[in-house]
Amino acid sequence: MSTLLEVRGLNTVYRTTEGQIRAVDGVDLSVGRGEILGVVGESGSGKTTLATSLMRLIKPPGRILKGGEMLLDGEDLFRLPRSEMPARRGRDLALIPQSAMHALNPVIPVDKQVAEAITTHGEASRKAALRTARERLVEVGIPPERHSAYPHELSGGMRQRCVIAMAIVNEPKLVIADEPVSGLDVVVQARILRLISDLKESRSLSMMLVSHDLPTVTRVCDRIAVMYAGRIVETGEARTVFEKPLHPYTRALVEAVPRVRGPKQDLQSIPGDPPDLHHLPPGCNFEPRCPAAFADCKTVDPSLEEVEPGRKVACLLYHDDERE
Amino acid sequence: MMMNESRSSTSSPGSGGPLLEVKDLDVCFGARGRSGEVAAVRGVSFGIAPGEILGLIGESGSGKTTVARAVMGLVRSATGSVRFEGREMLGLSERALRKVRRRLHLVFQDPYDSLHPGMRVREIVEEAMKIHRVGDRASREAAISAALEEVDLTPSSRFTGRYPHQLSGGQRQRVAVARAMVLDPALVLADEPTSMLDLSLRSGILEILKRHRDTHGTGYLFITHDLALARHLCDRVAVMLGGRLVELGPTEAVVATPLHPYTRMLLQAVEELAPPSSSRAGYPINDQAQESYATIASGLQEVAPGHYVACYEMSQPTLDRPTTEKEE
Amino acid sequence: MSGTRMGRVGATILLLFVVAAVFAPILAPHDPALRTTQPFAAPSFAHPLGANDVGQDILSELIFASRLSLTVGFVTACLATILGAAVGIVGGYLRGPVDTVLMRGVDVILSLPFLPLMIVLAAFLGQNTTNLILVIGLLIWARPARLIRSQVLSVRESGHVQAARAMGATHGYVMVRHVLPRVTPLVAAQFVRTANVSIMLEASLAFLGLSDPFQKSWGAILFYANARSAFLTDAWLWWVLPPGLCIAAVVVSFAFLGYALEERVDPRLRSTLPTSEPSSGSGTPMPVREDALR
Repeated sequence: MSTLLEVRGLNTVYRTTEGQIRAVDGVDLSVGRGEILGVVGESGSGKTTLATSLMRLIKPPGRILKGGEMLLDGEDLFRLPRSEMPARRGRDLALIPQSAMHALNPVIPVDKQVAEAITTHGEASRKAALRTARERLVEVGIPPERHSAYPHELSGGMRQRCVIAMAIVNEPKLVIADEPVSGLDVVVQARILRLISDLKESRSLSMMLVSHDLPTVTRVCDRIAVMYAGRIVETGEARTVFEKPLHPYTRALVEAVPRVRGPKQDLQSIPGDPPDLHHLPPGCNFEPRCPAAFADCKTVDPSLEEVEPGRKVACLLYHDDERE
Repeated sequence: MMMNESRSSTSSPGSGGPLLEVKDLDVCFGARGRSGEVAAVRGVSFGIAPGEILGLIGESGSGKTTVARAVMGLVRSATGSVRFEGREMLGLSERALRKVRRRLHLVFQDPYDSLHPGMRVREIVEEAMKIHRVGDRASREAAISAALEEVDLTPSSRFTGRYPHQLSGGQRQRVAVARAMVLDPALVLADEPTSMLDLSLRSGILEILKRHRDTHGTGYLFITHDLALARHLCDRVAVMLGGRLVELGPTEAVVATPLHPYTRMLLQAVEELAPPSSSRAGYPINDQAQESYATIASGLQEVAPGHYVACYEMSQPTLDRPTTEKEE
Repeated sequence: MSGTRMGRVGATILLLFVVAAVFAPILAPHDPALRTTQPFAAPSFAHPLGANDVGQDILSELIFASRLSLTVGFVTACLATILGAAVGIVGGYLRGPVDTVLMRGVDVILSLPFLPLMIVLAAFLGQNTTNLILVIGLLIWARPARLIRSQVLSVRESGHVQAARAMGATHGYVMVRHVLPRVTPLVAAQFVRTANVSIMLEASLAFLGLSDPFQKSWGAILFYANARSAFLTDAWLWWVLPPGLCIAAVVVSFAFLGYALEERVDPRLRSTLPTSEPSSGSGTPMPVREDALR
């Protein structure tokens, strides 16, 4: 599998009244062609900022620090002039935003909206665009008789399907989905995720899926990156990460998942408060809440190191050389 | 309805008279007298014993929140019977309701919205005591600290002076729970109290609720859409669909042997969302099934001790795909 | 100019006028009620703004007049805002028939032609300051009432209001403890706006000669200036312009203050806020909620 997206040294900072915070702190990641990368983190972990940064939609008081690279098909999108970006969004990169209700215009029928996503990028005629739009709507599972419906006439799941159709209609190289199923009922969640899996098969879709829900992400993703306090603390093949989590934070996340099958275990919660980006500890960011922390964790800030092929962890437990 | 409430209460743990008995509850919304009336809740009956946690499971629009609001007496158009500690709640005057509300409390879904942004934690927790004129200054102060410690906001003095915006989402929800507990209510209605929280914080809240039940014998109506979560907390679960109860029984029984097709569908969805190790074998989710179930008149029948189900296809061990021809 | 800067400028100007009003006897060079020089005297060192038709010092008149103008503004604004907030909160919170009756009342008052009605009322009730305040106050509370009600409608649906109700709180308790604090910023902004409007109205009525003839106000000075044809002579420079500028300055300062307050109520007017949600590149513009505040 060849690499489609390669991000190196991405830093996004926000200026607040209490000083500057690093919402995304030196993130490196890659997405292969036809691969779904899951980015998992809790609120405040920087996952949404990461998605927004890749779209270059960060607005003041936030900004992306210079020096980072974002290679999409070998081309560094961070070097493009800002004016070039609107043409790239939707074609090179498409975003499935968090709330489908807000992403749709309430006064335009959904097929016209999807067609509009095509016509804003030029070439196609109105008629051809509408035809393509309807094909995509069928592809995401919206029956033809609902194509001219207004967003409020559709259920939450249907609206989410429209947003997905809109994202794939220009055949983007990479789709970035920000919490595509949060706020939906479980049955609908399962269907939407199945749609995403199907699209991945049929169109060999490359995707970065951002979510707070570790089990969900594990289900559809090939690889997972776990974020904590703006950093990636663990990456690896999705099932392996879920079944054998290495980083204590990932382990805590897995243990917090309620299960409907198998023996009933007590749910674990992570002690302490979520990280305060204004006052991060000098050593490992997770150290104050970590059950496995030892003395060095207070002083040494672990880097993300490969511990097995394709498996990286930022934790001193697995870094023998850093202990000295 | 078929369900016999006296039997349901005797079959629930900690019997000794039910705490809450809901019988044939109907709630209609919409313009009065016009044909646009929508039945949000139809013929719902269940009971909660003291110290019992009943999970009310359903998707958005299933009427589960309306049931809670009707129990609180916040819905004017409710008919049927809601007996709380042996006293009929429906039709009570505003004044009488206010007194009863000391004994039951609501915890809301959104901790960002349910706490007054201009009040400090101390005032928020104290409010219920003020409204009901309970205790003097010193005893209130003690009750506030006790309630905050009980929800693991320790030391309480660190939190009493803060405003909600100075707290994290999990801490806010704990304040909301402390507010509910401070008057030591007999029944707490919790409306999806964890759905807006991160996964790692949910278990903390569940733990607090469980512990409080164990130490104070409080009954809970726990509303959620997540069967997996309900499994970890609830003694019994009631599944709602389109304003009706379709299945009611001990949690383990319902999860292990779901009888109603809708319950199976919900479980299947939960399993599909669960980690990949669980097997894919199960009942197919049918896109249209939901609507067709909703139209079936359902009376609950007891099929195993304490396990009730609305009579639809439950007798068929192998589930055929439900018919879909009439929905498009 | 940022909202806070505007607010500061407004507050400073207003403060100057308040000081002038409070310390008028000290600041004014002469007693405005006494004849201190020739009628129609041109500006001189002793009388920087000259004298009016009966030889009273115009600068002193101006300083003393700020008392009446500001008093009318504040008292009327208090009256109208309290009335408006009460009607808005009660109507918006209780809904139902109470709301319907109150809002019909608001509609009636909003549809009345302001100035003609006030002229008739002022003429009918007699020209004194108390009547003036009552007349203006009873006519301008309707707009704040309507605005406050629309915000109460959304506040009443918020969780903490529901929680308080579920706790067994009375309607009165909820309105005072939960609804009022949430609409206070809007009420404050409306207070400023109403004060502004009433100062203008007072000046208009006084200019038409419908104010208390024994009380000096900026409008009244203009009325006499007009009656003595000052508009046609060089005297407009020192007799017409100064009161006009005073009215303008007070109105502008109130407007600045009001803008600064409204900006705190309506975060969308704040320019430097991070927008929470990026819309997709190919997406359509986000729907803008109907503005409830203007």
